[in-house]
Amino acid sequence: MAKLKKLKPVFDWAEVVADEKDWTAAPPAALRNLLFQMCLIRRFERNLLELKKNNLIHGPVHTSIGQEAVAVGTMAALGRADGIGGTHRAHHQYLAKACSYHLAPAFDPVADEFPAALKQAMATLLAEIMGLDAGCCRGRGGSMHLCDPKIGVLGTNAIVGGGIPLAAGAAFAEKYRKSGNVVVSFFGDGATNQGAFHEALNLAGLWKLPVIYVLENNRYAVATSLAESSAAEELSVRAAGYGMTGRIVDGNDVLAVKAAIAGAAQSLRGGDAPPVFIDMKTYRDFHHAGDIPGSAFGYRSREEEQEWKERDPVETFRRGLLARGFLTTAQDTQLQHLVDGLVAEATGTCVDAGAIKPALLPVPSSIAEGLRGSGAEFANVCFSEPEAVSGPRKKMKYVEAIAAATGRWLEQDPSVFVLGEEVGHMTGGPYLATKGLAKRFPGRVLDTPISEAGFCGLAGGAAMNGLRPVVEIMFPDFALVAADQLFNQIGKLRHMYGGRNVDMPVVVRTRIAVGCGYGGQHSMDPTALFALFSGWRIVVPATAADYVGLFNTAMRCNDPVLIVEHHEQYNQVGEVPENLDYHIPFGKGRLMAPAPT
Amino acid sequence: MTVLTHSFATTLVAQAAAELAAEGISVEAIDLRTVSLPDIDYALIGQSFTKTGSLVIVEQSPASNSIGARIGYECQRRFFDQLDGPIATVTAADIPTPVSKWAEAASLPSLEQIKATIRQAAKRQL
Repeated sequence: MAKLKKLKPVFDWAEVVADEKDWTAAPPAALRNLLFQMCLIRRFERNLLELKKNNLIHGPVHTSIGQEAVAVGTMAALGRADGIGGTHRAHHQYLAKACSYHLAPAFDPVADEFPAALKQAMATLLAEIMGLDAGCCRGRGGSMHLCDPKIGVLGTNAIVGGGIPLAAGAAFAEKYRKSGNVVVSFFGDGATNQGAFHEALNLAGLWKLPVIYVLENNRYAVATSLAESSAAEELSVRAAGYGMTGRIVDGNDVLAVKAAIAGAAQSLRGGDAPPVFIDMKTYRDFHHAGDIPGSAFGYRSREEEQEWKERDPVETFRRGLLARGFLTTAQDTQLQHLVDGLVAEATGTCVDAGAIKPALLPVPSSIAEGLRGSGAEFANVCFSEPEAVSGPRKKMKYVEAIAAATGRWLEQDPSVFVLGEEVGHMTGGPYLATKGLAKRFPGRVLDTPISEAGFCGLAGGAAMNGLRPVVEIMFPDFALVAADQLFNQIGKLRHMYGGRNVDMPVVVRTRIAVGCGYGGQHSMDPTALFALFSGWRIVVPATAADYVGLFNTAMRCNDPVLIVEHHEQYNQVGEVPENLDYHIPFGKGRLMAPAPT
Repeated sequence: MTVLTHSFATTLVAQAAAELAAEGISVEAIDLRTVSLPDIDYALIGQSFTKTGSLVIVEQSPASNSIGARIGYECQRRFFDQLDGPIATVTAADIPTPVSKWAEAASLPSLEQIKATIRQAAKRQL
């Protein structure tokens, strides 16, 4: 009879628990700095709730009140060059990153002067949340869509789970450049049931990307509890499925959070360790948005809220500092005055006599600025139709032109890489559009799992972080699997993040297969779909020579470009200049010569 | 006749244009090449349209998945005074593409369909 032979999962799973040594490992000033940052965030967000009440904030305000230790502990263990990706609840993430960026390691909030650059960051964040032109995203992103790459805020994202593949892409870029930097991807418990989460984690685990996945687990996705949403009680076990290290930590203990991140970051810097998934258990004081507790809506109890209130991250840490003599009562009062003053000063930059300063409002004529890049990348490009390119010609099939043009870019620009399903296998892709490239450019032509949302999002994150990916989507219909990444993310982020924070040089190639008998799920022409999103440029080269010229323009462009191919064209032969380095401008049609009868 | 097209439909339109020339119908076909809506080459379309006053847009997508209708809207807005008849579009049947070789072929715009639409538009019979 068959018997069960018991197996055990291979999984490095542990809880990180802080002890007394974590209190003495750093000088007291550093601990006071952590308390100061948590107090600053709390004061800042309480002020937001006031501003919202006074109708000075348009749109939702999701505060992190109760969750401050997650952000402050995390950033305290990161370097200035490390990046973070956040969620719709991200004020604390932005402020903590700004603090860790602008404050010297030895900064003592009760002795040192607060840097002007950090005051500026607070004002910029507040202006953004209030929808003002001085905001980090010119008021377009608001509370939920923050981006400030110079301090390492790569982007916060209001699609639950949507930012996770982008963060994997940012980490991919760091690994590709061998920078030694890490990326932290924050998300909530609700995101762990989204497909993008699973696709991104699989890719990150597979390619051992230097990314720390921080589950900011406040136990409720709006009003849906963990018990209602997840079959697994401990969400960190999901890391086991993706070859990752799993950690659990008390997210209300800032020192434990810091220790967990420090350990994870150390293992990831410049090495080949698996990514780390950390479940930080915490609680939000209020409902999903606004200033009313969740119990008022009936999905949590007052008793539960009270239990968590007793474990409040700011108050427990304050008590710990006072008890150990690292903070005096007088210093505590001083610290409170300091945060009150700083928040009042930030508010004063935006508000005068109870109203928004009119000079800060976005000018209506500016709202479309930065939908696409400035075009500066073409400043030295001399556009030319293929017929006008001098030199010899050679006959080339359309499909050969794709591989030749792609190879030329891989040759001349180290930031270019190719990814997609089977692009390296079988000598060069399912239909040979990348023929020979994997062999010529090892490590830069990457076969992906069947995971369109994962690898399209990864390409977007890599593009925002300095690389130039070429993504092959095997059949255009599969773009729908990656719709959030292609349209909500890649298609919108430049504009939504203010038009000047990020470039999005993603080239997506795909081949229409109608006429091959592939049926209703493989025969789509994707142009009308992509054309719903004005951030995308779409080119449809009909000849091999046009392909090369339009591909070159697409690759140089700092905006996302879709290149639509057609299987019927693949074996059409055309004359192509041997010198492949010519660019056909976007937006130029061509008068066709009639075909011979 | 001005005919706008892109992708493999360019091959079909070139063929149609050549055959219609024998019937005395002159087609100026434009391969749009860039089809993102803010980037359509309306200057080139306008030049042609000023001569012809008539426009057909040919693509292989099912009608609900068509970009031609959106380009056509913009053309009538920009060139209304030169318009000498309705703008015609040729698309695939508005269904998910069938696998059956015969059903698939029947769903796609044929050379004959393209020619017939251009012919009707040329004779202002739409």
